[in-house]
Amino acid sequence: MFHALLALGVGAAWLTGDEAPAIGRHTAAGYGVAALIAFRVAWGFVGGRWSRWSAFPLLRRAEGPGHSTTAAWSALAAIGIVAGLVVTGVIVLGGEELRGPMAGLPDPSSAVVVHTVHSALAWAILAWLGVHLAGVAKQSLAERQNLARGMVDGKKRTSEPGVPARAGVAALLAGSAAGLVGWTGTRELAEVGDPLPADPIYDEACGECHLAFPPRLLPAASWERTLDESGHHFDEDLALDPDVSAHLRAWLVANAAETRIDEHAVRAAPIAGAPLRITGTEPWKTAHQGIPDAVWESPDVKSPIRCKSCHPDAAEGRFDGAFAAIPSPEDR
Amino acid sequence: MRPFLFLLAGAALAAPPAVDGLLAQYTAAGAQPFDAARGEALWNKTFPDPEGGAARACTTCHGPALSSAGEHVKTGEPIDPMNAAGRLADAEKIEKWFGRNCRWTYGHECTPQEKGDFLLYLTGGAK
Repeated sequence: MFHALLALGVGAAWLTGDEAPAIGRHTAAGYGVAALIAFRVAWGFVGGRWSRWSAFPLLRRAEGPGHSTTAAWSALAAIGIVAGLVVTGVIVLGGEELRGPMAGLPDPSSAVVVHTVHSALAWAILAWLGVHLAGVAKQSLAERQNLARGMVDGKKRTSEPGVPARAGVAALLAGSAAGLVGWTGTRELAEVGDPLPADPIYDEACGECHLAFPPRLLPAASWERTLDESGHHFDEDLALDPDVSAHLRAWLVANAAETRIDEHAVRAAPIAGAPLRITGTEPWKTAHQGIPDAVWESPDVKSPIRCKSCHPDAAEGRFDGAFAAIPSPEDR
Repeated sequence: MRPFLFLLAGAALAAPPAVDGLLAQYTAAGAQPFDAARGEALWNKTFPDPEGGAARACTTCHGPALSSAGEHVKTGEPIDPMNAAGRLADAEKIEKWFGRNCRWTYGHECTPQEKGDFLLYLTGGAK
């Protein structure tokens, strides 16, 4: 069963690896595979007789119904490649998407390199699969049994006496592995595409002259300062009603950059100096570097403050790179 | 008082109830009879920027005519035409924007007289 699940998990990850919108499913598959690998490694220490690492005939001759030497090395290679995929995957997730257990830790340019390794390993496992299928077919013919059926019933026909299935240990181990990975994974999965916080009072009070900027784009200190200085907000005296002001302050601070882990919030949280202007912050400037002045001055854009000119999902509070496009005169 | 105000509004469309309420308030605060022409003149008048930038008028953001689609001069955010349906339906909003926009355009609050003149002009009062 482990084998079948692993094959499904790796297969699912393989099929969802290429498109940006499928990243949620891809990481879900990856977390599933991580749990399975963790289980298998542990099982190799406490599992059924022929599953243990001690039973793997890596450097000696195989005996009994367990893995042959070739099979042992092959299994180890598979586990190694897949484990590598999991580790590189978590690094890429943390460095490029700023999500998951390593969110924000790897620097983005290193993450890109690791991404190449991750892709290479994906091809490696495909190559391995080819060899593996050939090997299982050949061995099934030689032994005159359908070895692949062992994936379903966990048994192999053999002249040796049976070994106890150790189902209890298996269940405990599987549960722990899944729980451990789930603990890091489920919070991350909740972030993927979950609705962003919205507040009708904020939209009304702060969304009439410009986009009601999502609070996670600035640290809490910036929002506090914005409200402290609402009497001269970019040359306007907002004259906010005190109740409205208090409500805005509480909501903005509760949803500021420090309160989330996603690619925008993680970059905004460490901004120092409580700046008021989002377009003056380092993360914004980095994200928009290389855009010529002519674009900002063009009639379709007019100003960096007009996020919607290029970000169709700005009103929802997202600025997904996959949808961003500089408008051209032909779009009019 | 009310019939007199309607008389002043002349052949124009009936003002929304929010506007009526505000006009009554302004009158109670001692404003003289309102005049749409005076409102129009003030709407179009330019005032200097205290920081030395471009001069500004109501039309700077709201556009040259009441039917113009306006645009926030700094942010480019679109502003519905002043004569669009449903405009001026909320007294609190009217007061809020009078507050902000008079302060920004003129540097001080508008008097009840000025606000009344504006409302008459904006609701199509007789000239």
